[in-house]
Amino acid sequence: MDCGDAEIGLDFKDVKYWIPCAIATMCAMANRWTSAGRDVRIISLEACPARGYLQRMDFFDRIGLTLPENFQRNTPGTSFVELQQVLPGIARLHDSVAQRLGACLAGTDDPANEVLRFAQYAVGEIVANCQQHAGKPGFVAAQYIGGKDWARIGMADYGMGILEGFRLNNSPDYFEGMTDVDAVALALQPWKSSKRHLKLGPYGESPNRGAGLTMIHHMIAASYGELIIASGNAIAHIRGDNPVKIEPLPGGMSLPGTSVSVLFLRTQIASFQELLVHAQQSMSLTSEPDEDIFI
Amino acid sequence: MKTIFHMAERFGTFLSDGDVANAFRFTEVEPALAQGHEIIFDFEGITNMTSSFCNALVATIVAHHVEDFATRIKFSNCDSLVKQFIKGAVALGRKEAKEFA
Repeated sequence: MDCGDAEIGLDFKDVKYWIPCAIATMCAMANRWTSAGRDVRIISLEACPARGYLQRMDFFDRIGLTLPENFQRNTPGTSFVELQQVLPGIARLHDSVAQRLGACLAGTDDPANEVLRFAQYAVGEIVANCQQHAGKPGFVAAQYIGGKDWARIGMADYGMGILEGFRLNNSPDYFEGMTDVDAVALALQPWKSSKRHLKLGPYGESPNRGAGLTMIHHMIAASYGELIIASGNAIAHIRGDNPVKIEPLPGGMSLPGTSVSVLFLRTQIASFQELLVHAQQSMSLTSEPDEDIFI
Repeated sequence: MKTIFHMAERFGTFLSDGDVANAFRFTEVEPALAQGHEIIFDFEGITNMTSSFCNALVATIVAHHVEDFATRIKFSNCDSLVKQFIKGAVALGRKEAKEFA
């Protein structure tokens, strides 16, 4: 599907419910195609029960289609945050957007709230990964389903993908014959970043330690959440503290770029600091007595 | 001589971006250290941060100055969460200093 110049049709007939990562991924894919000069056509939208939701998420706007809106747009409150574009190399997500994403996921904008602190952390690390590694724009969105207490953030880009990141940056961890499954597994290991070895960047050191994604992994495991990472033809599922499952995407599918989905339950986040300590200990970052550095 | 960096004034209350931290370290903190200054990072008003930011700033400084960082660098007005981030970054910096020694 990624080759050629033929028009691409997206059939929405059976679409009933979308999570943010899926919306962001389709948005990234469509932007990849349109930026390559291909036309994207929407099929069977009238029959799609999720049409209104997708419009409210700005999905069609973000892929360059303007559709009539037969509904009144209301402030989404903490139900969702529409797709936001993340540009490569931009220092950080605009503060107001970051605040909206965090407030949606946590249900509050109280900076001392434990859920908000975890949500900010997850958003910050995931968005930074896209900005630093993708080399192409990405999209991020958030959603909260009150009845299930599901807080979800989804991020997707149409950049180089994890495997190409290791290869193009001449990472010492790259090897001939490395697969997408190998690359995704590597990215989940501590201290494995495709750029960690780049000591001669503009500021003398790489800011990338290969810690952010692994820290989220440990926090998700400890809070019984879910982390999904897809890149190339590989997908990793992490559900609570179950063993990590990494496998090829079904049906020979391949996904240019990288998609990340984080799901957590607000009720499982009692203390962000405890999750942080757990993640640090899991990565052998045990602190020595250094109280004299704090004044 | 002391140099005080007020983190919230420079970066907002949520310290998130590792690239920004890396640039700050290289262009402002390291030159002050090279001039023999004592550095104080003031975290007044900081409510949260990412590991990426903290590691890019603190772990790298510790790795570069592992012998004397504890006497030349101080962190003020840290709440318990910020302290925990900094402790983790100090541990990482020490680990990297050993690896690259």
